[in-house]
Amino acid sequence: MIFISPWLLGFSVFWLWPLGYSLYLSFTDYNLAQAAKFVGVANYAHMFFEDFTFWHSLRVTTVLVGLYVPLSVVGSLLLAVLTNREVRGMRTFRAAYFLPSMIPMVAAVMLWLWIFSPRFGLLNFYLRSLGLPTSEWIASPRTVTLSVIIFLLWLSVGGPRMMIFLAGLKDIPVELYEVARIDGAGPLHQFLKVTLPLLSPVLFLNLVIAIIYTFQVFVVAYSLTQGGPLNMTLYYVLYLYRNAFQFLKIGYASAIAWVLFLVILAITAGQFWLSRRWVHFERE
Amino acid sequence: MIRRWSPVLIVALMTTGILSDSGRGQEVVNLRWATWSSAERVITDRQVIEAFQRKFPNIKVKLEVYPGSSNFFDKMNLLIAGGDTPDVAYHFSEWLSDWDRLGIFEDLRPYIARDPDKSVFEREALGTQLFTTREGAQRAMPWIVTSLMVYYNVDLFKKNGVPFPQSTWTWSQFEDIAKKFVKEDQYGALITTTEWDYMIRWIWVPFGGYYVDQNITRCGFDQPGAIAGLGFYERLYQEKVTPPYSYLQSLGDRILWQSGRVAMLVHQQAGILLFMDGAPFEWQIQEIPIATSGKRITRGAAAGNGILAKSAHKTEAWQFLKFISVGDGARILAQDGRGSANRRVLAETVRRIPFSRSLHLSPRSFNSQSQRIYVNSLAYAQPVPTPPNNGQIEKAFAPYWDELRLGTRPASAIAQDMQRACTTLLKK
Repeated sequence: MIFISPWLLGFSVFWLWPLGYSLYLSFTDYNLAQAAKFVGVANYAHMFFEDFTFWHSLRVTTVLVGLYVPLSVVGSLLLAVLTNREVRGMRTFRAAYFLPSMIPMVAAVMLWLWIFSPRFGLLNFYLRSLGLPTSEWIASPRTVTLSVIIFLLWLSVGGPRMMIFLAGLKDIPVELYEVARIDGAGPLHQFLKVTLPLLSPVLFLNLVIAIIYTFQVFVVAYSLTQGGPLNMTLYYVLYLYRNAFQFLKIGYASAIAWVLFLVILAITAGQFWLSRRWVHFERE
Repeated sequence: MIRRWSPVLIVALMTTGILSDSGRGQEVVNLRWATWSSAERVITDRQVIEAFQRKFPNIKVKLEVYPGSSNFFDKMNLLIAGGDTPDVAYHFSEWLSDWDRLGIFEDLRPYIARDPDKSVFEREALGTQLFTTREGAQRAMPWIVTSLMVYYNVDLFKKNGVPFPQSTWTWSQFEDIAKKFVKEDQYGALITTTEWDYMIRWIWVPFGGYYVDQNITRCGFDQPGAIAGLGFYERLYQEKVTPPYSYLQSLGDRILWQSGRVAMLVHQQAGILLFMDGAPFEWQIQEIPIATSGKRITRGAAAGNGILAKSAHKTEAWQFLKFISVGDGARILAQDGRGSANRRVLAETVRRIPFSRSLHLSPRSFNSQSQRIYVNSLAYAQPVPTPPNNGQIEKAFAPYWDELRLGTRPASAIAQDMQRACTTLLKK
């Protein structure tokens, strides 16, 4: 108990208490300056039955999660497989892929504002050079989600997720591949029958983390698109932030935060339940 | 027992200073001044603080700089949420109703009434009006008051053979002139961009429209004036008079203006510091066009500073606020365009602009006629009524502005939705 007490103290003060307090605030009308007024479930009722923007933000966030997470996880996995070869200069490649994830996101946003610029941007410059049609990128409601996904993929595919996959790949005994080869398995079969099953715990971990983080996406919407155009990037946490610190509706924002927590909890619980069917742990 | 220990207690209290009066004269008060600033402005801010501390050696001011003006509102709210409130803070007239609802800033009327120099405060000045609530409370002292005027690219007018705009022009003539410049990669007018959305709210004013009525009980987007204003804005985009939304979003209005591709820019006076510095062409300014009512009318905005209600040093905070608003500090601030709390200081600011350390405005462009237009433009500005949850309504309008710019629906249909959204939020 003595050894665990510092952690318990930190957990209680910095985690449990704020969590409990925010739960309490979600049942109040609180605007920072005046005392919180208990309003029962009014915030939740307003959110579910009156606030169309809440549903819109949940919808656009879910679309982003649905499109970005599979691309990101599969992209990181493929990149990890490609960089798992003992080829001369591979470390440089790995570092190069990892580099974007080390750039502060706001700095990366500044860079991509220029890359996405329809008139002077790098992307349209290349498209024009190749004789291909150009795009409005973040300025158009039709292409803004795609633009955000491209930006997030650039930032994350070669980042920590790839490193976790790489660590998992290094952990797979080479003997298994040798046995598979002797049995006549080609590279694709080796990947599907050896790599994927043995990497499934790592894949599961990355999937869970990616979904949690993507539901909480904020900086890209705040800095790159400001939620627009046509609110197409008004992601959930940006809407939460606006309610808290721009509309000064802290109670309502707390309720929004708790709903997000429950959504993520439900999805994660679902993933754990499904994981019994496809994740293979060594000890099982 | 108490009697036996009381001499010891008294001596102890005196030595620790609790009962001592000897050091009171030298007691130093530490003030925190939170403001947004840029690399250039922060130099002037520090000069102001040094000058103030020379005059009031017992008051030390700590400058807390938050980069970027547009997010300052959020940053202040975060400070307040964390219980870490400064003593004096930057305020902007657009935030007045939101912050007033929460009582975050002190009402300055009692301070002004008690002040021996009360004659220096102009109650009727536009800047003061913009920081005064419907109940009459003054929440900040202005240091920039700004209205709208039209900047134009003289070189582009000459190149296209278009006569320069005259002060007698109407909005219809403005539109006709702007259309003459429309060609590949050249535009007639630039009104504003997302960053300056608060300046758009004037767009229906010249057409006789309003955002909310004077009693703040009704939204005005179902009125012909508002629809005409939105239609005007829509036409500028649809007829490519103004650069496409994608350009504005990715480049910003400053770069677009300075690229020399835009003939006219409708912007606030304060924009002169940002937009004209280093502009690689000759430019001039003109008064805003005359409205349908036959009057020249626009809206005003003000930036300034106020005293936080939670400050523990309100008397000292008032000394500092007065110094930077109407005192010697205001004159130092005039070097970079601030400190223009009233017409007198504004005129002083204008004279100093061409010689500013941080700016390199062309003195040829900024001649005596421009100086007169610059100062006179304030006279056409008026405060616009804003609801208490203005910030939320503004954000709710964002997608509708996008629609106008993108041309996805006609202005009349968008106006209906704006009216619906505004009415719903106004009721709350």
